[in-house]
Amino acid sequence: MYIEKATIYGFGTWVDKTIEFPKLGPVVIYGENESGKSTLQAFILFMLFGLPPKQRNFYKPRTSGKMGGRLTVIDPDTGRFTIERLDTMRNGAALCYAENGAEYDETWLRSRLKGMTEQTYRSIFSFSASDLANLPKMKEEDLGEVLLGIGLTGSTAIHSLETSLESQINRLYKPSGKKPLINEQLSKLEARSNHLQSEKAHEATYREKKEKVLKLYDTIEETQQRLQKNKATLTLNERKLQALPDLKNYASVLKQLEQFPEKVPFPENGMERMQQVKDKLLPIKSEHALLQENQKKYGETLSSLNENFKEVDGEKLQYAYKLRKQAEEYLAEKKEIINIQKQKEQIENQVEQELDQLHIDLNKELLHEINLPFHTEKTWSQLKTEQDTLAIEQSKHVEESHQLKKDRTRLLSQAESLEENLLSEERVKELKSKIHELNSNNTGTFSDSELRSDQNTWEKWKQKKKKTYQAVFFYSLGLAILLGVIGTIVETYTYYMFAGVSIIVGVLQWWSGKHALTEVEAFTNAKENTSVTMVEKREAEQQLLKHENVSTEIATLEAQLKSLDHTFAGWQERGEQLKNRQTLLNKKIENERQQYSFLLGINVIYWPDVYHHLKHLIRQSREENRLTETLNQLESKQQRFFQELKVFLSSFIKGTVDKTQEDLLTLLEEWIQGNEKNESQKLHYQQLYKETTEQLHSAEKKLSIYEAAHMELLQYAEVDGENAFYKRANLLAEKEQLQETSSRLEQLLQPFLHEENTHNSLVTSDETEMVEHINREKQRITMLESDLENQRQLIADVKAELSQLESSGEYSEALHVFSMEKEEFQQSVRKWAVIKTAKEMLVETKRKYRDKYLARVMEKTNEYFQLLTGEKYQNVYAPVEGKVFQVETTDHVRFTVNELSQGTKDQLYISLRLAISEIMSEKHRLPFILDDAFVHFDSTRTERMFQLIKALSNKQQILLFTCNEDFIKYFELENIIQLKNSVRIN
Amino acid sequence: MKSIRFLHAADLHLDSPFIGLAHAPKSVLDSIRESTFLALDNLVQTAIEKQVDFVLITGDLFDNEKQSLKAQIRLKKAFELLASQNIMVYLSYGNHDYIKGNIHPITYPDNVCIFPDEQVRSFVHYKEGQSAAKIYGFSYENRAVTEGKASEYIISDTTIPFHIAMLHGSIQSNTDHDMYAPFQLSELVEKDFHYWALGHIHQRQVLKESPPVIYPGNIQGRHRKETGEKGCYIVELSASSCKTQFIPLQAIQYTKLSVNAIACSEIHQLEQEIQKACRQIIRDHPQMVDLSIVGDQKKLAAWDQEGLLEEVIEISNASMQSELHWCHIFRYRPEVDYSTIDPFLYEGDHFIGELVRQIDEASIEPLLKDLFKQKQARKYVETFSEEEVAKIKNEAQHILIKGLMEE
Repeated sequence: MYIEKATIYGFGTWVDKTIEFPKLGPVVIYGENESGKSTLQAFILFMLFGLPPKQRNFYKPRTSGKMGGRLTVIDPDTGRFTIERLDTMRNGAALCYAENGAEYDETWLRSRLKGMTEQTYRSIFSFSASDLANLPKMKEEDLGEVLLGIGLTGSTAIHSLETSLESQINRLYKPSGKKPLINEQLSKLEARSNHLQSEKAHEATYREKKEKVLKLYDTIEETQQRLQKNKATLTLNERKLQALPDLKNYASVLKQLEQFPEKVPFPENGMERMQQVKDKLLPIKSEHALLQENQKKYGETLSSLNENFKEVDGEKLQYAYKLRKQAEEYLAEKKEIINIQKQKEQIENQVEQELDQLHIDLNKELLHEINLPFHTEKTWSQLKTEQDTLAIEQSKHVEESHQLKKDRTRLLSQAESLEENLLSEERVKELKSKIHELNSNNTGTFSDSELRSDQNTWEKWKQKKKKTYQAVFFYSLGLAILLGVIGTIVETYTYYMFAGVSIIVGVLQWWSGKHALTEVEAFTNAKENTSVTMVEKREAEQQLLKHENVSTEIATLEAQLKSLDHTFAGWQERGEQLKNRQTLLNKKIENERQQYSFLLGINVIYWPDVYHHLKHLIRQSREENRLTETLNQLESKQQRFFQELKVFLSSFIKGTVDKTQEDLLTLLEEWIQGNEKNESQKLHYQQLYKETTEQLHSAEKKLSIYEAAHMELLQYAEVDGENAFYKRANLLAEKEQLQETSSRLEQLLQPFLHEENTHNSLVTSDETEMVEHINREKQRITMLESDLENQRQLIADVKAELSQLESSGEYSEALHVFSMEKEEFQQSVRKWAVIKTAKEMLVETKRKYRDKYLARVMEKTNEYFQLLTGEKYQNVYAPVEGKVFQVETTDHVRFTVNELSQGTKDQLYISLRLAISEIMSEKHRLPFILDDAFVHFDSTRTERMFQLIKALSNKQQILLFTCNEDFIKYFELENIIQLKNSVRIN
Repeated sequence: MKSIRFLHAADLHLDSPFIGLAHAPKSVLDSIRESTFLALDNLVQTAIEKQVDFVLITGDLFDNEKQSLKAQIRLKKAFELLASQNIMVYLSYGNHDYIKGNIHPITYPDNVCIFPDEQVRSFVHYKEGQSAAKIYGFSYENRAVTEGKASEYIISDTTIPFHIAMLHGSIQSNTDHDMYAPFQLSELVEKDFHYWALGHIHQRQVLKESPPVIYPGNIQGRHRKETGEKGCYIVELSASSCKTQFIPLQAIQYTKLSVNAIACSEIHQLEQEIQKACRQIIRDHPQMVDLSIVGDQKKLAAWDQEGLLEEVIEISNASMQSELHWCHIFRYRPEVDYSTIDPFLYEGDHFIGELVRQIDEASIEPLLKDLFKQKQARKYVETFSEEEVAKIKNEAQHILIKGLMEE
């Protein structure tokens, strides 16, 4: 493929530029730095392979809106066609115009390029100085490999891919690793598998355990049977052992029974019956004996009692009783006598005492004689009253006389004093004239001193008057009271009248006095208030007035005196009356005194009292007399009684004469009591004797009955005495007891007695031996039981394990987990397989590819290298078996690539690339781009290089971009495109 | 003649691990572990609810090779529950639970009748004191029964109204599975059995409607290919008719899901798409999703290679894990057609051309001997299928081309 023409609408610095490419030979594109060489190169690549939008944007020209262009190429198969790419159209995709006018799309273009990508193109057909510069950066060891990589593919992609794949594989799996995923999974799986196996094995024990359980059940069954058997034996043996003493006992009982007689005669319940009989008999016997004894005793006592009081008959006894009764009376009377005496004495004392107290001329003897009739009392008291009244009246009379006398004296003195105050006739006349004079003058003067002295005298007078009036008043009042008293005593109304008169007189006198005083005072006062002349006048007038008043008073007093004299006359009359009455009374008193002499020394007023005392005393003395009589009667009666008593007692008891009355009475009582006691005892014993005899009879009867029964019992038992009877009874009881024991034992030993052998052997067997036997049996049972327990425990354990197995499901879980992890593993393996395949394929292809192309590439490399080095080196060896590139000089000296100079390295690299390009171009023949690849070359090498290029350019288009002006001389002008200010050179 | 109703299931594969599950969180793994048992519980529940007369289980109740005690204990419990409802169980052992391979002596309750050997035998089922059905079958004594057994099934005692055959084996037309006790449909149909209760094939299929010849499939998916509903058949036979009804039992459903990523320019948009798609399929069960992502080839490839897809799947799983009916993407594939390599590359004389040509021709097995021959790894690693090998080569090619071109 040849590039013919490039039309740039706009790309980077290029705008509306058309570049024609020379048709033959290499195309040298010269331009200084910044002239747009790289941009042109990029444009060509853009046209061929396109660019992603970002890069297209990068190349968008700043001066123009258009981006894109056309590239006309000649393809050996399809001929000339033009590729057009525009940024704005088809998203930068190509549109190809063929010469025949047909249009094709990007895909068609790609098929023209034989699937070549930009990347591949660059690695095969593009070569620049920077590629060379990259070389030293690579690791020296990798150099050979890298060179090979480039040689084979034109890039390092294979190498890096391989490395990446390798590392991925290593991450997944290493044959002898632990860390990678699959290794890890494997070890995990291994563990899971082991776990699974163990779980499986564990579950597999299920069958085993089930069988074990069945076997254990059998064993338990067997053990249980054995145990039951052993237990039965043990029980039998134990019972035998228990029965052993009983058996022995039974044997001895049987032996004992043999010794007893066949038959023992004995009444039924003999012992009890005998006992009953005896129980009855014994008390009866003892009672019988007692009764006999009592009978005898009572007989003796009775006969002795009959001996006493033989001489006493009924008559005497009666007499004795009568005496006793009288004795009682006697005693009562005696008491009465004493009482009466006491009373009498008391009365006597009283009478004497009272008489003493009375102090009258009386004694005991006189007292008897005094006789007081019924009226005496009244007479005496009347006398007394009369006497009293008279005495009061007389005293009143005397008092009245005193009063009257007093009044008279007072009145007289009053009158006297008043008369003194009376003015003389002359004086009155004088005063009257004076007043008259004064009245006519109408003036009157009185000196102050006169007035004052007047007043003083007045004052004194007034006081005096006042006193006088009061005295008169009180006197009249006292008289009135006195008169009233007398009046009440004498019971005469005249006295009251007098009294009233005297009061009135008193009052009047007092009132008039006072009135007079007031008037005088008023007068006096008036006098004060008048003028001197008036004072004089008044004084005169007062004196006159006073004079008049006093004269009035005097007149009143004279009247009072007259009434007083009248009263006095009445009083004298009453005195006469009183004297008469006194004499009458005295006569009566004398009368009485003559009748009762003892009254002589006694005032009349005490007579009623004396009467009362006397009356009492008289009664007392009469009582005394009566008592004395009674006393005498009683004493004579007692005397008689004693005589009788004495006579009676002397007939039975001696020495009664000297005895006192009381002793006799006691003796009598004793005698009577002794007699009575004897009689009652006699009766008592007679009764007793009779009763005892009766009892004795009945006891004898009972005794005979029981003795008969007793006899009967003895006869039945065929014995003589009671002792033998009891012996027989004991014998019988013993036998019966033995029989009973034997029958009880027989019942108890029922099971053993049936077997005759056992019986015999048992009786003979040793107890200790049997116990030992039992113990052995017990031990066996214990062992069996513990065996059974163990077996049961075992079965429970196994069952628990079984149910644990049944419920666990661990194997199931393990299985599922294992299965899942295995699947995970499988997936990892698949992943690994893909990558591993890829990697191995890559390696394999690499090998094949190398095998296929390397020889030819190396041949060409060799050729070009010789040419470029001027035949200095004759051979180039590709890296084999870990070795790097080697070159051989004409001297057959070999150098590794690392040992070469930089220039030689470059030459080798270029040779290699050219060779590859040529080999690759056999089919593709795309333009080869060289971009200033020869900077390190000297002129010789450069010339050689260009000769080679020229030669090569015949086979394929070679675009040589350079900034070196020197290079231009090596080429024809027509082959040179100079990029200068965007001007085409040719 | 009265009618009978029974439940037909097979291939319980109790407690067998899920094939092809990696990187599941514990909760998901636990659910999966429990899933076969839950399905069994569902089976029992269904039998009780539908008031069936008996239950038929045609082989492969568990796996001898990975036999867990738990599987049989749970089975026993299930049978006990059925026994409590007076439901009989007739079961035969298959190639996975063959009699001689069973290491655990579990005794099932009395309601369970087991065909004891490889001889075709029969049990009579009594209903209300009368013989209602006769059930024929055999059990695998050893790992394999290679000869055809169909000819051994012969109806006896025609007084019994219903005759049912249980057969664990493969139809000869099916070559996907191990060929055990092979038979042809015509062989079965020509006998007068009222029902053929088949087992062994995990994909349920009704081979024939009348008389019914049915593979019920397994009751719980255990492989990414065992997608969709899994369960049993409730069969009601009467003199005149035969009704069959499929009842799903699975505890976890496996689903293939495709997400279109064309509209997604950014990876997080894809995440949303994925979650949306997953939530749409979640209904009554937790879902295990086999996800394929279609979309821009280059973008998908780039996301895949950069590990972004893996991240997105992880994030999606994490966010959907906590829900009651969770959803777990256990596998994902970007639908990148690696086979479409630029044809021009093949033409070039350059290295890449040489490389792509080289990979096509080479065999990869010798390349992998490092691991495959390693003593430890050999025990666990599984050899790749041809298909897988081609894919691996393809992916390797792409890695190389991308690596070389982008440098």
